[in-house]
Amino acid sequence: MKVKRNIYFFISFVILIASLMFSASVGAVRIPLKDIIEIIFGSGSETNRMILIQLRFPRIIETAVVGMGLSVTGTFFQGLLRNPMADPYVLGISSGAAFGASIAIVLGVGLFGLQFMAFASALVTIYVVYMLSKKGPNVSMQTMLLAGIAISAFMSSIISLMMLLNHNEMSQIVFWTMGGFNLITWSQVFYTMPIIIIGCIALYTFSRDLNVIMTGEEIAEHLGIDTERVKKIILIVGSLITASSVSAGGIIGFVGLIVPHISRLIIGSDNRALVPFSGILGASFLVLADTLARIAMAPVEIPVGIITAAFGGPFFLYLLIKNKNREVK
Amino acid sequence: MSIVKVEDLHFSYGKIEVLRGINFDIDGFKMVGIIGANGCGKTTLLKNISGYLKPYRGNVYIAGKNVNSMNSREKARLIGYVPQDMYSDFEFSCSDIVMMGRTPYLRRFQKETENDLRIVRESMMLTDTWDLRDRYINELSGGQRQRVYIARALAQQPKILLLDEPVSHLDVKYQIDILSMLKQLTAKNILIFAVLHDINLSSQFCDVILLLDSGKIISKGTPDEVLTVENIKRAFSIDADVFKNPVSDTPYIILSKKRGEDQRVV
Amino acid sequence: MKKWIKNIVVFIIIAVLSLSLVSCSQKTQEKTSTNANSVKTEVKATFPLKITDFMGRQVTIKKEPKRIVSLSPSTTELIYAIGAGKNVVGVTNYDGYPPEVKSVAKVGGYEGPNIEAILAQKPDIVFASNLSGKDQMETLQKSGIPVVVLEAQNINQIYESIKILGEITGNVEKGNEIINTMKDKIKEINDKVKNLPKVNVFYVVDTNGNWTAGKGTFIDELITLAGGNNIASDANGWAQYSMEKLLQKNPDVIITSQHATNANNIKNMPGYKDTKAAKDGKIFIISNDDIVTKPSNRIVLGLEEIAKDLHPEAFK
Repeated sequence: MKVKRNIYFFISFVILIASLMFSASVGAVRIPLKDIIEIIFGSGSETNRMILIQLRFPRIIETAVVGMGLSVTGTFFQGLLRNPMADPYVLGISSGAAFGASIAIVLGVGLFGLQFMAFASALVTIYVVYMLSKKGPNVSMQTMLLAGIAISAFMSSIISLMMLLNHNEMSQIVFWTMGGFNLITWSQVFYTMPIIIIGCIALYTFSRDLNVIMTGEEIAEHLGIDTERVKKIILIVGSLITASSVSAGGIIGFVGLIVPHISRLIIGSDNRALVPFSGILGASFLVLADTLARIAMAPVEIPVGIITAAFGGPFFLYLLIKNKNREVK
Repeated sequence: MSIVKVEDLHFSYGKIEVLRGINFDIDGFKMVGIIGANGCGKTTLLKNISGYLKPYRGNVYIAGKNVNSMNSREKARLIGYVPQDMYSDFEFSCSDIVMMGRTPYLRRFQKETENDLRIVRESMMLTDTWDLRDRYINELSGGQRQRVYIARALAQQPKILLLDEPVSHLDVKYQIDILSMLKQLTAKNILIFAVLHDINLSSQFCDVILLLDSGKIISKGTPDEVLTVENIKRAFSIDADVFKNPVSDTPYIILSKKRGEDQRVV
Repeated sequence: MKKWIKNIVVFIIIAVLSLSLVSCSQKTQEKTSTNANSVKTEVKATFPLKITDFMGRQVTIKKEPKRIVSLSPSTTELIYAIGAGKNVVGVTNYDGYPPEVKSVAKVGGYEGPNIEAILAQKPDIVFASNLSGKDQMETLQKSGIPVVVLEAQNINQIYESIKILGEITGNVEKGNEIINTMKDKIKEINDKVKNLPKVNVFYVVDTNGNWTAGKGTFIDELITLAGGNNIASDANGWAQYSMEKLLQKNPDVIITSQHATNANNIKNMPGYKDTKAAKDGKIFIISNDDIVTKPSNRIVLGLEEIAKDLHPEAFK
């Protein structure tokens, strides 16, 4: 059992490295691996160096980091909410971020302002959802789910209203929500990578707690776990990771939903293995999806959210059918 | 030596008073049955004993120490709790589930030790679930699942085991199996509290019975002392005939609607 | 464990199928534009007039219209230009030119016409665009009001629009005059630059997402006429352009709109700052978006501005 796991981990690492290398060499501008190595060691064409180092490397790194962050957070939220349909956005983060981004676009504040407002707005939203769901010192995850849905619906209608009143900015807002990494440079990496990586490591340390909580919150309490504290930590850290991811790449759907499921099918439900495995698989998945987004219609950029939705939509249907059959059984 | 002592326990959910002054003292490793009609406060009492719920008045002492002054880990090393069956969609192996019982002994970054593995094995052997260790919990039958959860509670190495209706929904065979197993655990110095639905089963297996009605204990003692026609009438609003169970030498109750008419056998 | 391999193969197949659906929709978009090239008008100076509009629809106009509703701001401009402005009784919320439209009743937004408001104006003709809503146009047509769709996507089609408008409004001569003026001006500008070395140009519609105007847009056509080479012509229509490709092609000149985010600071923005255009300080902001995007006679002004930006020496 242990040996099989290790093999799967090894394979997943290989896939990740291969994805990164593949992604580095293709794009609207093709730079073969040979040239990449030349550039790393100092020589090579100046234009290609600029493209590789200023644009492509940060983009690949950011994509991998966001893929990892969303997958790890998705794994934790699915466990915490005890709901296999959950993803990092289910508590209102996506509509909160879209709201902040819409305001930024309408005000015309530029890229950094846009990313900051998306980030801040996402966090404020989840705080509101949390406060609405609190009963004394406790918070019910099911209530949070409902509150998240309600707040999301409310914010979506405000965003629609904003789009209606700001006709010129409408398409920009729509495209932002579809998600894309085409503007990533080192500054985004600088701001988001530490938060996401540290966040993922922090969450990982609660894998065992999550295992127990998944079998029942009451049980977890009786086994000595401070479930309220653990829930809060998972929510806060997960939200920070998601808000960072969204500020850099917009709302990229399905990564946080599908990757934990596929990972679970391969490596099992034990979060101590599932969490890192999801992270690695998620990084590869998003790197490859973004590569496709860059090359499918080059030099035109497709929003990467469309690519992930193309894979995610059918998968979601499959999940629904699978669950339906289980109930019938 | 008092192991569990409950003193003047009052508990309410918001404005609804559920426990209105519970008093008892168990001084030995026995099997204690908590019975009563639905809604009389059995589960609530169990959760107050475990310290999960806090009473607004009164105290619970375990081995002389107040439960509510203990921290989570301390409680978890002393008290094992098995709720009514919970179905889980997630696939954990049985050994993983039982290993969760070692949580109160493991630090955040600590890996499981040989000792932990040994205790998990012992717990599973005691509950006859060792053969199931690599199977997934959601693939098991109700009876098997329940025994695995009990094994998990045992892995906590508790002095007290609290079970909420552990056999209510199980086949007769499993009911007997599990209750016999629990009874045997008392010989290993574990005090068992079990909320039971079936009066006769409680009579057959329990050393002490606490009969609850509307948040109060109306009778406590041995099955002979507690299971009288008057007590049953008061707690369950039903007439009963009390016989002797020839196998266990304890009361055997047959419930009826009215004397001489509409015999209903439980 | 084999189960999951099979499952993954199944959704890869489904995913590929759904992605191909996306590319399919791209193709249908191109189809409607080729229809417009076969616009014909039967020249009849008298009414009833039969014309084929840009969507290939045969429309009969019984008599010269006196109450015109225009759902397309560019069509509105042309109507005023050919002298039929006095007959305009309804425009959209997005109309802004000429200034006279301020006092005209508003009957809806660009994509959402308000049928009741339109009918309230008792029009005897409605000029629509591709975005006006098929169902609503059918409703108007059924109630006896002719609906003519004009959707010019290049300069030749602007001429066609002017011709049709001229005939419908009884201003054929004025229409021809405008067309000839446009043609002359365009030739004049083009003559000045056509023999000069082509300048590589990139048009930034917005910096958030690096939106540009690719092949098939007016901007693309204007850049070509102005003696430039639109480096984004390998993209179709409005598109998000790869930053990498932009750097590789390294434009000499960047032109942008006032509405682009941080339009004044493009020279310092990551990616853009490494282009020749930024380093040479050749980043220009178009004075008015209308003159480079709207299919009206003002497009000539846009051409002139771009040509001066690209080849200032030729206009001294």
